[in-house]
Amino acid sequence: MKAKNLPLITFEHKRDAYGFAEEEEERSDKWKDFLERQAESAELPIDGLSLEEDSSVVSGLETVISEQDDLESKTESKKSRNHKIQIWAQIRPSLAAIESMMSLRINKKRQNPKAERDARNGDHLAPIEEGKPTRGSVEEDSEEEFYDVERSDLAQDAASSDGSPRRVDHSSQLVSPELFFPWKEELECLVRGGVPMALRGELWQAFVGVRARRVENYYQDLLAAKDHDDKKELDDLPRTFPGHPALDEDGRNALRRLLTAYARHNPSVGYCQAMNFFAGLLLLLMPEENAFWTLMAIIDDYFDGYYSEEMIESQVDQLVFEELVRQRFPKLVNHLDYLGVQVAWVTGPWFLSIFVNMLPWESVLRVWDVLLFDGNRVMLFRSALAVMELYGPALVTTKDAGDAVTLLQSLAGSTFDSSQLVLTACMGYQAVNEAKLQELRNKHRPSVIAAMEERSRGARAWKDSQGLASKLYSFKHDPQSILVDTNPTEGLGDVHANGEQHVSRTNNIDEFLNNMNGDGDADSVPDLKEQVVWLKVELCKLLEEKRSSILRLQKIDLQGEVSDSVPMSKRQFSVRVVTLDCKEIIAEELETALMEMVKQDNRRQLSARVEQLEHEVAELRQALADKQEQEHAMLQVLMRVEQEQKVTEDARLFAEQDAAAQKYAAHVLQEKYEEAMSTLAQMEKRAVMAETMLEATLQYQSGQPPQGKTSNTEEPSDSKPNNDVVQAPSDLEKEMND
Amino acid sequence: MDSSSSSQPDFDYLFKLLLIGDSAVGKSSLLLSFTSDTFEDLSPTIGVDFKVKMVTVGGKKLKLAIWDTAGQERFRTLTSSYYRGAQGVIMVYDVTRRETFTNLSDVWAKELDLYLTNQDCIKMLVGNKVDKESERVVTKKEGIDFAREYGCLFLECSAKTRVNVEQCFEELVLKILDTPSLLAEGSKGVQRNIFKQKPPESDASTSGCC
Repeated sequence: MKAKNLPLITFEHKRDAYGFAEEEEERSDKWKDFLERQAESAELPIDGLSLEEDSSVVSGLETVISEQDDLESKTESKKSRNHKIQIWAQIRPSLAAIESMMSLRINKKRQNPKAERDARNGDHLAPIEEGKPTRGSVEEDSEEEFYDVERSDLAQDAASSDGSPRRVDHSSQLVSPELFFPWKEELECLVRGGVPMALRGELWQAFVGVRARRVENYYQDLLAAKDHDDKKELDDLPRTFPGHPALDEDGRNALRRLLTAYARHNPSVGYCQAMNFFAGLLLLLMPEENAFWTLMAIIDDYFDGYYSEEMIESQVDQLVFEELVRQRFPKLVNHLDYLGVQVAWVTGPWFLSIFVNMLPWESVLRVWDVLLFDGNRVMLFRSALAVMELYGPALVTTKDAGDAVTLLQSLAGSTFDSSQLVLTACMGYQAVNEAKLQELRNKHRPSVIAAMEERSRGARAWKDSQGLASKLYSFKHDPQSILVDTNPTEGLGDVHANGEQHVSRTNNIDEFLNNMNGDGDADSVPDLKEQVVWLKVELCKLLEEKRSSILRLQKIDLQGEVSDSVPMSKRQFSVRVVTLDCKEIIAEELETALMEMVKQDNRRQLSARVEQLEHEVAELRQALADKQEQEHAMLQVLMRVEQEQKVTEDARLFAEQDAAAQKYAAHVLQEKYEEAMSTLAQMEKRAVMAETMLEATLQYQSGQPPQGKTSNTEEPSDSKPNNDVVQAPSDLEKEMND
Repeated sequence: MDSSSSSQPDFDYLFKLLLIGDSAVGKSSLLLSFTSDTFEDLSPTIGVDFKVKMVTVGGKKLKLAIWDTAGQERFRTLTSSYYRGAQGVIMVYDVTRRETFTNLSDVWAKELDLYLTNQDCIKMLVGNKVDKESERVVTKKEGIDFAREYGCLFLECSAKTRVNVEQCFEELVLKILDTPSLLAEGSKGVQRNIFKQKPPESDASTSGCC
């Protein structure tokens, strides 16, 4: 985004800062060599005059190269000088060969819309479509004469194949230049390698064929015209490359004139923002009128239908580009879909501004080199795809829509390696060519037109006229609807024929057509040819006006405010037919577009949904895993508890056994005690018995004294054991007490 | 830029805002003034431009994704596709050019009716360039009346002097924070964005509880 603020004057510094100065010098050498060889080969058919011019230019180029440092300021001073002295300048003759080659395609392209219009009006002006040059002449004028001779034959060719004039055109365009300009390939390589700054302005003019396009005094006449409303572009004058030193008072005036002239030249496009950038850029590189014709070529040819009120082609291109990105970078698109980012949000502005302010200046100029050389918008697609390729990997890491968009913007703004960009674009995406793009455009155009219709229906009351306008537009761009085309034109023809009193211009138009017939028959003189061109331009304008007046008429008819007799009703009828036809087609287109949109929307929603579901599944899986883990842990705990339980149970058992053992021990002790007690009791009894026995013995002894002497001797021996017996119980008693 | 993208989950809500209004009323300048505190001459916006700003309002960390649309009439077919999903719209006019004010009711309000997807979307009317007081042609009262009629917020500001610039966005965002349906949309976006960080979080929580 910073690029927005970089004034053009910094070309030089930047190139130096990035070491581009050497590259530029090398580039200049290559071009010089190429042009010198061109000059040599051109020497034969052309007289000495042009050779002199050539060599002087080559030496001029050398001085330019030697003064590299003030290259930019030189261009500027050249420009401002041109304001005062001349607003138109021929490009250097050494580029004439390139110019004439490039001019071939203009002649072809240019006739197309006119041929279509002419066909519609039943006027058979010979179209100059199929020019097949048989010699690589450098002299432009003679070549054109040569065409004119062949025209009549070719007109029939064109008439027989008028179903798809554009396609025929492309194929012939691809073949013929390479056959007759063997150096075209070399030139292409040189262009892709970059055009030297000193030659850029003139080469660009050669590429778009300014000289062949130019009509003398046309620019001046446009500026001289009065009572036009030119307010709109005034707002943007100070806002074009703000702060650039070259866009001073003079510069801004030139810019205003240029934009005003273009708006008057093509009122259906008028002024569209972004044109101010193109005009400003061109004014820095070439004189004013040259810039006008270059701008006209870009907007009318290269970007036909892009900047008009409806901007249909611009929208179509975005759909085409999105499809290409989907094909090429599925992973990136998946991610962007997930974030809810549409590629067109970023690339829409790229395309509309042809990268001005979107890429660094060096890169912008390099892309323009190739684009202007190619003669179509293919380079736009290739460059954008290259940018996607370069930055896709970074984009995939973004996490929301805001970050993705800002990242892409800022990365694009820092694409300083212009050579890498251009080479990636040209080499990597050769499959993206004009034929393929046209195919895709035809595929996507109906939906855009349908959306347009929807929009105008929703917002405006004058929907019918609007619908017709864009219908006519689509006829111009869609050769396949040629069948449908015939109906409305017939209808318009009726209106045209019957409504003469209302459409005052009819007579004029007829006159013009007659004039052009006459010119077409005898246009061997260049002046006449220029007149034809001018008249054709006039005719286009008139047709435009006629169309709008018809539309106005139609509105009046529908309101029933004009009451006429028989021709009127006929006209009404035809107008109704037209309207009905259109409505029908619009309805159909709307339906298909709607279906497509719904499908797309569904697809997008589905993919988002799938993504979400996938995430949910992942989450659930995680949760499941966690649960399982938990379960496992619980199980372990349970087992531990069980083990503990077992241990305690064991302990309890042990304890019980212990208790039993103790009980048993107590019991045993009790028994022992009882035993002891019983023995004690026995002992006592025995003691008592022993005492009684002793008493009895004593009483016996006392009852028989004579026997005493003999018994005396016996008695101590007898009493001794008795004493023992008496002693024994006392011992026992002692024992018991213990 | 990089810091904001690395610190991704650092916000509570993500809101989409939209700037609309005629060409050259100062939409891009207003946005630049808000996002980077600078004022400079800007080129016209082609199609659409986009900026991101992190702010803290009402204690909430917000990420604002602001779409700056082209003002020229013919770009409307392109810009209408950007209305989808916006939570807030700033309608800008130039207080020194009356037609930019009248176009808001004649043109832009209808665009909003047609293309806004959330009917609760907060609208804000902003009169820019009040630094050119001497050239003023649209009075403050007219702005207030318009805002009352269309049920939107209103402020006058200057992108050049930065008067009221932050307030514009702040008031709008505060109102969005007060509106449940918009809040839900904003946080839905957040959820979606930090989706990828969610599984590890739940992992941590489950292992923590055990």
